[in-house]
Amino acid sequence: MNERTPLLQVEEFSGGYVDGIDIIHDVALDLYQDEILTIIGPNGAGKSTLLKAIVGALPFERGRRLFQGEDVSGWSTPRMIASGVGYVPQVDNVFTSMSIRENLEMGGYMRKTGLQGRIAEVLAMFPDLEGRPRERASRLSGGQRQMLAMARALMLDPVMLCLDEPTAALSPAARGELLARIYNIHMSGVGILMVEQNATEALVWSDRAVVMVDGDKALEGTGLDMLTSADVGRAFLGQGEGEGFTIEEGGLT
Amino acid sequence: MEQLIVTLVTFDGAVNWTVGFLTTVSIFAILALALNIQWSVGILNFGVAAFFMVGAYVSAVLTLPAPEGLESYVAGWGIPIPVGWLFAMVAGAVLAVLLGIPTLRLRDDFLAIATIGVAAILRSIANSVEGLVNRSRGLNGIDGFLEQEVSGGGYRWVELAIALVILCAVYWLVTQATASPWGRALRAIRDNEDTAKASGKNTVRFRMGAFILGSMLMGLAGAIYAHRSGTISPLTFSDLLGTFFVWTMLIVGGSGNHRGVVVGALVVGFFWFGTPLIQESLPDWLGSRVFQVRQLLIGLLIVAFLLWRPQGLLAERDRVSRFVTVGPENRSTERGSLWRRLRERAATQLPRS
Amino acid sequence: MGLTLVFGVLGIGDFAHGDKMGWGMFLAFFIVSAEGANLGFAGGRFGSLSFGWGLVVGLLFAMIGVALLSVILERLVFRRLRAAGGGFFVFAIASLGISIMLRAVIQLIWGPSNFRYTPGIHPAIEILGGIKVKPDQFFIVGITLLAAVLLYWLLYRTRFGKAMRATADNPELAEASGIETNRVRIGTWIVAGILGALAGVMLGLQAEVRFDAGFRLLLPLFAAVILGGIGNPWGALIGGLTVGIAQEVSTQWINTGLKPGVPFVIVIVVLLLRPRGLFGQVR
Repeated sequence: MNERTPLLQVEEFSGGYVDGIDIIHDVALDLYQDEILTIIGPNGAGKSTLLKAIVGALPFERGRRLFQGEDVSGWSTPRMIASGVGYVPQVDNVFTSMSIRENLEMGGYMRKTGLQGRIAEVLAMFPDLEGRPRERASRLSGGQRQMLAMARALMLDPVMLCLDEPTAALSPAARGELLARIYNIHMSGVGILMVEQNATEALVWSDRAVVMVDGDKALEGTGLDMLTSADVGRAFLGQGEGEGFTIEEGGLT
Repeated sequence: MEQLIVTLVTFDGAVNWTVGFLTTVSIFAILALALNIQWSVGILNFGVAAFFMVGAYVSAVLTLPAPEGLESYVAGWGIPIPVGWLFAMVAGAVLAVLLGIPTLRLRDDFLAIATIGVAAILRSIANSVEGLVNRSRGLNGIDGFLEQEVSGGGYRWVELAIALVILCAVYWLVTQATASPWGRALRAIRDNEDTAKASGKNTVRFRMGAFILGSMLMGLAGAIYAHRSGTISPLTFSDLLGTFFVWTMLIVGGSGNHRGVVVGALVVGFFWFGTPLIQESLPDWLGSRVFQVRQLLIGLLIVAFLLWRPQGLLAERDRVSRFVTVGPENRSTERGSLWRRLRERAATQLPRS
Repeated sequence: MGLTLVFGVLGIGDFAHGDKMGWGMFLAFFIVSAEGANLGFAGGRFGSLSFGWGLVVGLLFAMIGVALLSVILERLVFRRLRAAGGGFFVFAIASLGISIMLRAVIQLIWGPSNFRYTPGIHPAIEILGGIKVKPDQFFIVGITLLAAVLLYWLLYRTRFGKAMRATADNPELAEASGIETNRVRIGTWIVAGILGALAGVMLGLQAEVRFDAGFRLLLPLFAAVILGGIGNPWGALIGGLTVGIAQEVSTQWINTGLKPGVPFVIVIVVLLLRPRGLFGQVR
């Protein structure tokens, strides 16, 4: 595992919304291209904050982040996006006043060429969205919106996709479908970093998982480990301290 | 305001100017306090001039004697002046209700537009409808309160006393109001409307209450102004003097904080009304343009304070109830107190366990 | 009437910013544009004797000037306020402060030291001499329609225009899509500035050049935009037309002095009946 360059490395990450109040404390994690890594944890554990900081949407106090071996700590979101990171926020993740096609055009805003071709490709991945490019995003159902949000993020052929609670507020059936789609995207060669609260379902699809509690990384392991460890819920309560293995030193280039 | 240009060469002149200045500033301080009440619940009133004007006109026409000769205005019943003041407050409140009903439920910005609009329309009505308030000729000969009883030059002291007493009363009232549970609810609404809604408060009703209270006080200020200056015309209540000037006082003094607002009124008022005093001694090229420069500086003051000292000269003290924890997300970043920021900065220097 | 049309379109330029922030800046933008337009117009007249070219040059000059002014203000004031987390209120008040300053500067440069009246630099109509006023108005209506079509094309058919709409819709997501929102904002200011300058020059052509002409149009403009539904160019065009016609027609029944009140009444009625405007779409 240590021989390859990870897609993303996060080292000693600390920060939060306001000066002096850290939401995240010294979190380290990494992600390889052939992985689905899921961050789970109770409400307010700092999962979304971490994800936002990773894509450059939030400034952070200390630590650094590397993308494909390059230090990208100070990069703005558009720059991260341009270099191959897709990001789907949890809420407000589509342009509601715009059509499906326009949403995708915006997703591909940085593309110099092949915009129309990529739109067709992306639409082919999501049959729900195909055939009605002029439909306004505000008319879509929750599941369809989530699909559109992901389709938008895929417009630039990212190598890594950051998803913030993609299955929140979806019906169980829609959740299953969406996770399967995420898996399909992953199989096309995209590393997935996802934050989830519906942990059990997400873990089924995950290669690895990180448990965050109160801004700390409490536990890390394979998706299967997490599922089979007697009770993941107990880890949420902080009993897992020290149990997981850490790999902060691993994978440096 | 030109009437304030009094030579300061003599001691008497200086005293007279100071008395007149303080009287005017007291009236504007009342306006600013009233505006502060509204601002503190997130009501953006860009039509202070309208409420000011309504109060002035209502009290004036009610207390004036019946019109004679070329004069033409309604009422003219010659009622006692304090009763006129009461009616001025009622008029302010009525205007607030009329404006608030269609707009308070909607986006914040609509009220701002509606208030700016109502100031413009009231001015144009006053200017153009015959037989209402004497059109652009204005109303003249409005008696001052107790003016008949006090003879000679001493009356300006009485005017000052009246303005100061009412200012103190208004100050006391708004302080009481904001310290009450009602005031706490108002602040909660301003800082986070959604949270306040979630905790079961009817925000529209609270905001309407604050809007009405503020507008009543503005009406009162208008009435005092009318009786003090003795003559009013639509031009008196320009957007610049009646609205933006008051806003500058609020921003400079420290929004959300009553003491700061009064200080702001004093500082900005001195700047504004003091300018004519130095006009004579300025070189010609500047002296002839001093009023435009003054207007420029007022605008500059607003922008500069917003940029570099958003909390104003006197910062609002952190008075959120101790039982409410203010999360980082719902904190109002634009008006945080200096002290709180210092504390937070200090916290970052501490070693972390 | 024609000028109100222009103003209706002009409002949209800034509403592409959308959101509350857009509202606040709109105040500034409007005043900036109309006031700045006077400025540019005067500059254009300076070097010209004939109407046609003088006005064209003046118009271009005004457009560049106002766009530049808007950008400078964005960089000096609004971007910093946004970075400090200022909300709609702060923008609104800041823009009012700016409006006061801009008006004062215009008076300082062109106006006499009088607070109320500035003898206008005489309008283009006088330069026209014998030519009737009618062709002028046709010209204004034509330009307005052209501006509306161009704006529609920009917002719905071009990449940058769509990015403007996206930024207005959801700035954070726009960032997450790789759109440089700061650049889009600057672009929006430029478009808005150009439209504002156009409107100001048309206003100067139609009526007279006054230091407070722009400020006086604030209310009709808001009325037009609210009537048309925020962010909808065609709605604003029709809204502008409606307000303009209503104002003119109303003088049949009411005192001419009350004309400024007409848009206000329209605003209130519309807010009561259809808060999203006549053509506003439900989100």
